Amino acid sequence: MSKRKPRVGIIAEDRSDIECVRALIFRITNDNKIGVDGMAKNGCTMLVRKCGHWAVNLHEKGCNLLIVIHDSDGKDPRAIHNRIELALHACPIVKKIITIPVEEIEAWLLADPNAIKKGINLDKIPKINRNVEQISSPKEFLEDIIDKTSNREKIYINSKHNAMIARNIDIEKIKEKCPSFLPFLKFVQENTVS
Amino acid sequence: MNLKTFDVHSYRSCQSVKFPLNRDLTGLIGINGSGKTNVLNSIFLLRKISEFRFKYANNRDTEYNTCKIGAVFEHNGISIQLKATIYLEMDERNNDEIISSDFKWKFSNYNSKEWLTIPIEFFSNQFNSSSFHLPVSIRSNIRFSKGSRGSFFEIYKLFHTKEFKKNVQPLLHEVFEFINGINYYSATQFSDPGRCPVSIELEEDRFRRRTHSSSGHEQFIFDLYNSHKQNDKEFIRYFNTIGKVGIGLIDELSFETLPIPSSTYKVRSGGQIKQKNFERQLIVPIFTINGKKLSPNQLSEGTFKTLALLYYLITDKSTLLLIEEPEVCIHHGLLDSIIKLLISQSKHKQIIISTHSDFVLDHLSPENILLVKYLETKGTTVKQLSKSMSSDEYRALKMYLKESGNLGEYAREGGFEYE
Ligand SMILES: Nc1ncnc2c1ncn2[C@@H]1O[C@H](COP(=O)(O)OP(=O)(O)O)[C@@H](O)[C@H]1O
Ligand SMILES: [Mg+2]
Repeated sequence: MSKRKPRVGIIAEDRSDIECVRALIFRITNDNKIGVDGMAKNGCTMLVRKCGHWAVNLHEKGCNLLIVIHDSDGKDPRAIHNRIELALHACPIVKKIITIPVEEIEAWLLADPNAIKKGINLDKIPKINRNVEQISSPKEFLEDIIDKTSNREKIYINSKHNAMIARNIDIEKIKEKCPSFLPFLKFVQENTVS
Repeated sequence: MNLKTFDVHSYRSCQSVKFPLNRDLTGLIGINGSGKTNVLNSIFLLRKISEFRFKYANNRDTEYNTCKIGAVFEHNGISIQLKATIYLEMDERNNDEIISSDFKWKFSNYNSKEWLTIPIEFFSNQFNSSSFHLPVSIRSNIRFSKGSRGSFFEIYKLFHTKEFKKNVQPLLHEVFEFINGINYYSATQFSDPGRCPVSIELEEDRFRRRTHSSSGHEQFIFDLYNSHKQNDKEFIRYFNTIGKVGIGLIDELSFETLPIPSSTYKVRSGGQIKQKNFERQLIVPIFTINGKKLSPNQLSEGTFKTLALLYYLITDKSTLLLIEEPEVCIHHGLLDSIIKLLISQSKHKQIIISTHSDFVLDHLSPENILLVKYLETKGTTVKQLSKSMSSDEYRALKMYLKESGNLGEYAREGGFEYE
């Protein structure tokens, strides 16, 4: 049976999350020719409300894999998972994963300080001596360390910088530090090898 | 320090307006003509009255428009109240020209029931109680409104009391710094980049203004040139934000400078002629975008406006920034970054915006929304969103935000009465 070329649909809360996930997929697969489509709209309530329609739309566009990514923002990840699962009950894309980083996707990015340095072109590697999945607001944490490490010469703009960091990220580092990353990693690896 | 509440009376469409302000990024919303611009301008009056006055009006009560403003500032838990009567005129471009103003102050840590009349000249940096730097002409002209406390020399005495020196003087200094740091930014100042000159001229390092119509554009290029030359931390931060490691509006920014030798002649009585040389410089700004070198007048309107908005947002030392419709001419992707920058910069300075964009509204929380309306009977009114609806309505809104969608969408769907 010939395998269809993978084409990934991403549903996220924010356009920048899509760019970030796209970059992570390219890092995992070492292949930046995989087709990726994404849909997003400000905020999480919109995602839950719209993801059913978006999934159909992504299917129409030819996506055969679906990744829904949603921050947990201090809420119970199980509950979020269930709400999204319910919203996707009629999802035409069979191979799908709902992935929920602890707190925010920035926690994954914090796992590799060197990628932050390279991505944003900092002079030094930022010091992060924390268990990144225990940081309560990874976005603010990242904002602070970029401010400090750059000696106030750079302002963190998540909509641009997340993807820039992800493009330089060492997947092994996230794997090591972020258990919430593992199902996502496994999903991408298993479904994209040709 | 931050501005906690503000009120204004008899100013343009604002007959009597009062509203509280949060420290977070705050948005004024309302239909066209409701008075958002007037409200922002009235806050900007605080800055205008803080500038030194050298002109004192006689007959000021009859000849000019009189408006009143009130403000409460907070500094480390101390509240500072200001009441001011302002005499002003409007120039041909509908800008306010302050003729004169009277001030009264109340400090929660000093005689908290008493209003003190302290003219703005007493607030400046140079001023300290051991010396008065005020010219005699101004000193003898400072007039106090009726019923106010005492004369100039009473204030002089007051400034020498120990308690006043300790408790109030540092606050006066803080307030002065704060209101002097209020700035107003409107995208219309930078519309039509075609009006921006391709070069500017400096004379002995000073800016030679050539045209009036392009003053906003020219001023921006001049400010940008100066920052670029100084290359200080603020400029580097700005450049990193707009450049390739940031939102990527431009690749490169440079200025070519060309000296233009000039001289004039001075003729003395008796016919002696003396040549006087001075240095003029031609400054040519060059923006590199996608490898192409462009003059500012060749930039797209959105790019030009964003470059200017972010310049003033990031580099200037404002304490309170008033921004009109940051969304004008900007596509969603870029606007997203701009709003995020507004939010992150609002940690360092208080920021109030006006907006018509539900995309912008999506990023604000309902506590920080002020609804502006124009009522036939009352003129402009400003209310916190939560106060403009019943508690049931507000609860319904909160529920909507939690379960169904965003604030901008709620507004678009008619969730709260806009008009
Ligand atoms: N100098 C003025 N004196 C009195 N009324 C004015 C003055 N300037 C503007 N207005 C009126 O104030 C109203 C509100 O204007 P504005 O603040 O520009 O509204 P918005 O910014 O909400 O669109 C307008 O109807 C306008 O006619
Ligand atoms: Mg307006």
